[in-house]
Amino acid sequence: MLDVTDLNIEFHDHLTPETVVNDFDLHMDYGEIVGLVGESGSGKTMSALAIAGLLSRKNMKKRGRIEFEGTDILNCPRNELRSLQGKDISMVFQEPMNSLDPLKKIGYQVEESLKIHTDMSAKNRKRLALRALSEVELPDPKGIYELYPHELSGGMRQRVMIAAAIISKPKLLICDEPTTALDVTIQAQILELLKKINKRYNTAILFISHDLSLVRKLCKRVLVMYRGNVVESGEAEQVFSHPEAEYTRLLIAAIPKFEKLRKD
Amino acid sequence: MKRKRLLNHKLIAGAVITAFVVLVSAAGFFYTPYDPNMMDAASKFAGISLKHPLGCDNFGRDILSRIISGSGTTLVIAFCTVLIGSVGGMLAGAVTGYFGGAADEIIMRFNDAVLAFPSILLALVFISVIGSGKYKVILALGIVFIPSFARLVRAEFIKCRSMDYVSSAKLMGASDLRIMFVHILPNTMKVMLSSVAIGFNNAVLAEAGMSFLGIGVVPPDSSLGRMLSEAQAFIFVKPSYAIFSGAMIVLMILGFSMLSEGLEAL
Repeated sequence: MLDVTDLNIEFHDHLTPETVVNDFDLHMDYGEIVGLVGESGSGKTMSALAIAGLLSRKNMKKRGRIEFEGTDILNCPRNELRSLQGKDISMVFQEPMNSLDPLKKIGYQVEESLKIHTDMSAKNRKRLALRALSEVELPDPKGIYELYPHELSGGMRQRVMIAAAIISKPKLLICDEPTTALDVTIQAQILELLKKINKRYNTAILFISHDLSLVRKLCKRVLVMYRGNVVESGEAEQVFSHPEAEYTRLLIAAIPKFEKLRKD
Repeated sequence: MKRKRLLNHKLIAGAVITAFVVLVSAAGFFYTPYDPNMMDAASKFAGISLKHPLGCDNFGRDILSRIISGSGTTLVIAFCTVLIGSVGGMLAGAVTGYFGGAADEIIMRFNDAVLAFPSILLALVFISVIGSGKYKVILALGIVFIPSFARLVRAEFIKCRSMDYVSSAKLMGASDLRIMFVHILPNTMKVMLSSVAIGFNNAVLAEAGMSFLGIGVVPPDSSLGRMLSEAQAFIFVKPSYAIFSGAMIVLMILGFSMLSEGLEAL
């Protein structure tokens, strides 16, 4: 479904060009959950934005190929890209506080991709929106439909974002650190929710995180990135139990452990 | 959830004064005690009386009627000026702030050039080119008002452009126009509101100033600035003429600027 080959991204907004992603390769099948881990600035978000077709076409140079169901995302015309975005590819961002328009009701924002991509009647749109809101396990979808973002908590907003992302049943859902801004119990709930969505709609999920334990819980396959390079990739269990790259080992060692804390 | 306090003293005071001014001048379009242009030699410089609550001017015209209809003219000019300025500024600011790049550079440099001149001077130049009169004043002032609105909207667009909700709208496949006008523009309204109020303020002042200098509204239309300039000749004979028309301008400005400050504090 998704094939990324030799993706290179260079920034050209400074005097010297800066490579942020180097020879990135990724293949994803329908219904697969792939984790992308790495520290801040390792290029994971950049790769994801490129896959979503969100990278600005100015100030940066991109080489390689991103093919989504036969469409070349890097080079296809804007309107073709737009017809994919929101319909077949959706994304959930890290910061649920900023990712909803503060002046639009929740219902409006959940329905928006339907409004753009289909000519469904308002009534049908509302029906689907309410269903999406209840699918992300928000209590009282009807009430929430009429609320504004500032009236919801962070966890609820992230659920709303997920509802908006899945309403048109995308084939690929990109989650860019969707749980980083949330507390631990909510994190676990969101993970469960993503798993459920993956099972029910066979939605492929590209899960980006720096939290290895989350990735381990959710993903079958993982890619480890460091300074724009993929240093290791493979089955999640394999990577975590027998890391090959030095960096992966360091990353795993950096997970705080109870025993270690006690010793210190 | 606790809501932020919606009203403050300045907002209330500004709203009350503005409402009073607007109501009085709106009523003036349908009813004034006398025809504001009716001359009556018998009541030349008539003092304050029941018949003429604010007295009469050098042609025996009723000052109250002239103030009411003059405020109407001034307000209509201010409204149209702000409308042209804010809509023009919104379009220019939206395009430059959202797209950036060459369009931004070209439009904003032009903007800077307009801003570099004092606005009254610039309006003067316009008037001397296209001639004076109500509609020409509106056009001249409107164009002069565009740059300040454009700057403001541009700054807000740049701020909102990088917000996640804009990216997520983009990701939903929304077109640039949709993002600009459905998502970002409503979010600039809070800043726009207070500057629209202050824009009214400036427009009233600019119109009064131009009419005072005799390049604004032409007779027989009355406007507050024109009345002030007429009153100037008789300031010792009939000080109330200048005082009342001046007071009306002060009232307008006070109302709009308090409204603006109140909106800003929201």
